[in-house]
Amino acid sequence: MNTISRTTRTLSVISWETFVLLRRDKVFVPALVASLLISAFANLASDWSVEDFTKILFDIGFFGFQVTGSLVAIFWGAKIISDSRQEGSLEVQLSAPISRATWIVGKYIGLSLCLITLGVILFVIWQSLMLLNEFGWMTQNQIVCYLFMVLSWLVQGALAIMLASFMGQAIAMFSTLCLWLTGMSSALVANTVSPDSTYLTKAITSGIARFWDFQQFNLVDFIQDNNWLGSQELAYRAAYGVLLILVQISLSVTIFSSRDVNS
Amino acid sequence: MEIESQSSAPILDLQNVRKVFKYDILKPKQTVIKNLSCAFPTGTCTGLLGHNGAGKTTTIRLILGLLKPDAGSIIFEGKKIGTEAKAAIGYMPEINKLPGGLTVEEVLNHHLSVFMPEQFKNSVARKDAVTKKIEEVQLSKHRGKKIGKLSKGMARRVAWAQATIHQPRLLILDEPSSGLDPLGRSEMLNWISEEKKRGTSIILCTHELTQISFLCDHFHLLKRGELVMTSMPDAAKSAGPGCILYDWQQKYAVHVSGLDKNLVDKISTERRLTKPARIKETGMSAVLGFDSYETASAWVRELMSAGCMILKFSEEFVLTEEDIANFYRNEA
Repeated sequence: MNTISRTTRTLSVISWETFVLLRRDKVFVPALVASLLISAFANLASDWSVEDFTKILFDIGFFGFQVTGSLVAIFWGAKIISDSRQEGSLEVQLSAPISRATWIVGKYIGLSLCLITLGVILFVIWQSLMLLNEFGWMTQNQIVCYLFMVLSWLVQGALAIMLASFMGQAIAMFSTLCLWLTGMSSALVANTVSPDSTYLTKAITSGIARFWDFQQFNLVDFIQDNNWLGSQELAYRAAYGVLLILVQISLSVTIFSSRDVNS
Repeated sequence: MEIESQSSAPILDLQNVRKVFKYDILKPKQTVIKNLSCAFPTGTCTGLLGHNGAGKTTTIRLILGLLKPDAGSIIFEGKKIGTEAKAAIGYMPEINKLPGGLTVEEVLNHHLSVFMPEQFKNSVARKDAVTKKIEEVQLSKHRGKKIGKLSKGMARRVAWAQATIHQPRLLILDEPSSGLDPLGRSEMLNWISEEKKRGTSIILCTHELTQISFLCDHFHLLKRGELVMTSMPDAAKSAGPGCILYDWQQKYAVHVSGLDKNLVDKISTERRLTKPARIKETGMSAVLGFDSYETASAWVRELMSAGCMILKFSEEFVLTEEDIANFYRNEA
């Protein structure tokens, strides 16, 4: 058996194992319940409003899903690495013919599978809610908007894994949370910097916003047909997300491979 | 004292391995393994001994590639150890370190998929092998149970199963009977013994000297990251003058009085018997060391016929708690 097929096999084992562990994690059900409650609240808010029912439903519901999914991604990302270290399974797994790079990538694929599963379940809930409110099937724009939201979860998962590869769980979670909030507000801050600010301030804020902007994945404001983004812009945003994931996972692999494994 | 030289090629060879830990920027570096050189012969069981903090677990982690040595090299079957070589190694850690959220069956299934992908491509074949192993460790009723829900004894059985299911050529056991009741210990000893009979090379890391005496053919004793006592002449030679060579090979000992030096040669020639592997004179008596029970008992008959008095015929557990305790007291 050549190296590629052996690596693929190992990757599938690690990712499936991670997927099973996360699916059985205590957070999975509360995340679903929280999402249901958010959906119910969004539904009520939409019912009580006097106009723009769909926009209100999307504004509240998507924001809720975005927060829930992101928090779950951050929690799981930090947890899968830290738990393996704390319970010592990392030691047993890395004493097998598994390279550290394969282990990290396998963990990330497992996490992504679980986040995508969560995304699919929430999608079904969301679609049911729309049908319940007689808003019909989701439009193509709405689906793309939803997919970008799931992509942002995957980016945050990669970030959490990267930080957990060299930090303890609590610190990794806290740092990921801070970086997520930075990403969510960086463009806003850069756009609202006072014209009187120093050149350095402007350079720093715009620099951060250029490289670390999670609003790239928030398409709720563009959901109306007349405001929808062009395909080139969408491709750019998707590529930005994929690039962030690749950079973060590559960094995780580099950091993790260079360090001793201590449980 | 005559001691046999090591004959079989080592499955694992540690050559001048050094490991330095740097816990904190403000604290000084700590050298936990200091130029350790020792070999683990193929097909034998070698004990790795030492007090807490002597560097046993660090040595194991270095072998498994969990820690990177700062100097030296670790050679497995003639090649520098790498990820692929680990397919031939089984590892049972001191405490349960398996994912608590997975079931017994899942753990073994995943393990087999990683270790033996060629032989167990087929999921049915994999399932059969897992079932067989589960039956062997008597966990059939608990195969669907999560590891986190198992008792300590059961978790040790799973750890044993995952360490041996892929039939490793080298088995590394870190305190294998830790936390087990007497029945569990006895069972564990039998399993290790069976594995040894199959020809698996074993590194046994334990504090229990009875286990060492019962199972091991050789031993290495570590103290503060250095090899300070060994039963292997080659290891003692490369470790330098600070390392004591311990006469360990004396497996069957015949304590005899009235032994004439020429008598040994005479009996050996006339009766065509293999000479004693070792002869140690202790004042009025002598101790003849034999590697096999048959040779030892034949010599007992001949010595008695020749008029010698047999004082004691025993299976010698040479390494005793007292020996080790004395060693540490003298070294402190």
